[in-house]
Amino acid sequence: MVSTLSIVIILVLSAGIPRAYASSEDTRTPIKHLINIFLENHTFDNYFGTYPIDSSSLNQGIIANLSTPVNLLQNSSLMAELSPIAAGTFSTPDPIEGNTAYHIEWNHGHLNGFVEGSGPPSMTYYTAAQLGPIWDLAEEYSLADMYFSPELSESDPNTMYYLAGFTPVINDYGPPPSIPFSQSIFGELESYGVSWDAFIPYQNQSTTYSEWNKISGMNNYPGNILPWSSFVSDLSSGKLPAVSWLFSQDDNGTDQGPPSNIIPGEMWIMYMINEIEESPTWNSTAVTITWDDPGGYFDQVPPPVINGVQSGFRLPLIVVSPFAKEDYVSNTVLTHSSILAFIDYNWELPALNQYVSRVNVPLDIFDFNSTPRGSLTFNFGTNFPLPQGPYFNLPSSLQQLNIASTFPMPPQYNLGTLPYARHGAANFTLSSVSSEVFVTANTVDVPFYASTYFLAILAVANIALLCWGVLIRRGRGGAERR
Amino acid sequence: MIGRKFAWGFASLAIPGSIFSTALLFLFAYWSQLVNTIGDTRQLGPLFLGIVVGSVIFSLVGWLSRSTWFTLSLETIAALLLLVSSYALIAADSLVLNGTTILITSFAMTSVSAPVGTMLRLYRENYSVPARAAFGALQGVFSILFVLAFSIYYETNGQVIFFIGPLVLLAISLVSFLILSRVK
Repeated sequence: MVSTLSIVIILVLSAGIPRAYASSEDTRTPIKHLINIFLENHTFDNYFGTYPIDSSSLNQGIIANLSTPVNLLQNSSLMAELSPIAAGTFSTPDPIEGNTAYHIEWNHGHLNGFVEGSGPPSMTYYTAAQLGPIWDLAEEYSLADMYFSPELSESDPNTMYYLAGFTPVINDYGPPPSIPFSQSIFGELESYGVSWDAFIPYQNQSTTYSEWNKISGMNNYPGNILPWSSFVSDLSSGKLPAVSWLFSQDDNGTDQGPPSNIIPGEMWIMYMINEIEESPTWNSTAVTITWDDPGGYFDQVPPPVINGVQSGFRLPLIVVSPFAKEDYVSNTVLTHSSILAFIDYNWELPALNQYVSRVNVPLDIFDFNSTPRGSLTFNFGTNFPLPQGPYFNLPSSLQQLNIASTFPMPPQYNLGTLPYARHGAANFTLSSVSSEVFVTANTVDVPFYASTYFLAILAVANIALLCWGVLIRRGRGGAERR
Repeated sequence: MIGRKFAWGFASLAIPGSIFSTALLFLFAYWSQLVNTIGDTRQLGPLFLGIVVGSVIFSLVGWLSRSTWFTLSLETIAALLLLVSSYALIAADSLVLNGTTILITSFAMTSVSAPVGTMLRLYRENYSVPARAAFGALQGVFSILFVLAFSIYYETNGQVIFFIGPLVLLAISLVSFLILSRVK
């Protein structure tokens, strides 16, 4: 009785004690907090096809000195086949998505099937007129121009690679199958005591959030699934876990997936980045911003085979950090699971699985030899008014915004005096230093009642019952005739 | 009197036949991952054309062929060969199916309707040719309606939990066949 009472007292008391993140400090780099922002459905050329050129800018001197990634600017004939999205327009019709559409586009590396595969909206690209603030992030920090979607398909398989370095499906699907929690990056972090949280749009979705369909057992961790508002309060109070995910999906357009207006997502990103930069943890933080799949939009670089898997088209990856190189374009071949590889590398964990162990870790993006860069504040005034919280209403007339004027920003440091090259690549994989992996063989969770085995048994039972019924009836008929 | 006999045959044979045929069709689509290739609205035309034509033709074949175990065996082997060929076609195309392939595959998938029709005919052989033709046509039409109804449910619910289709239909057909086997 006494021991039961003491357990109850301990539980009640511990409920009020802030969670401790002991393992957050044990890192290979000065980065103690990694924040991963995940959006939807844009290729590299769709967002950065003409970066950093903005002919309307009054700061051509800055633009002329910026690094240029592999994009449409090097191929005028290709650019002529595509259409810029007009200033004042912030969305396109939804290009057709999916395994089939993307394979038609790809056409065994010829990349000549975009109109056939995804329709005319695929042949468009955004400019500074819509993406000035996001281009500012790429300019001030680092941009990867060889970051490929892991699978030549749409959201679900690519998201699974983002969360588990593995997919059992080729398209948007069920569930089932799901990936067991223990085989996801969440499971690995949980297993090693590295703190993590996933931040989603709303509190009341913690167990029903659509992304959790992909990870079975995620619902057993409601304490790690928090709303965006908790992210903001954790930031300001210095309680951010080691690894965080900010999911934009399911918030009526914040995820930027077509045919949605991309401005809500851009405002949300810039709001979050400002909050991160102003937080007490800025000096030990890195932020990755990427999009889940190409969305059917054009990209010009034939995707490589990565670890035996035909990857999909390029996606943008922006890394914001006091250690991110300024105006840096990484040419390293990366993919969603490279972020998992960085987590494993930084927190000294085994690679999540074989796939993760063999993808490049995005280390060339960082300069850990210099002192951390000071924070920036992104404030564009009425040209692009930033929201005051993660939930907000759009300005009444987006046409009155002058988004192009937000780009470029003055570089934080003189680009000519930086102690590093502003282009580069580095092939470094976890397998090159250790053969240890956390998940030796990936499996999937399929409830027995949903398995093809059970359904086949049911089908055989139907057939057996039919045959038995016929035999009974015939036997009865024969007996009656006798 | 004929009306009652026909109505009984329709309710006890043609409807369960359409449910079981649709269940087998869904089971194959689930097992072969064909369902995962669908998602492009342009695929819906050839997909449903194959199902519509195939369901009616194969159901008629089943109900109008001779009601013998030998015929049933032949139709079963033919259906299995068509399903295996379809799977080979899907696998050969790495699940990237053009319109013609989808048309052929969906048509072949409905071949299960023939042995199902013949099996049900073995239950009751005393129907006239016009009645059997009507049962065949109705089995095909109701299969199409079940496919359409579940497809709409599947699409409007975010293309999730496809297994519910074959699971529910197999359970219903099992119960209906159990009842049928108890009826004198």
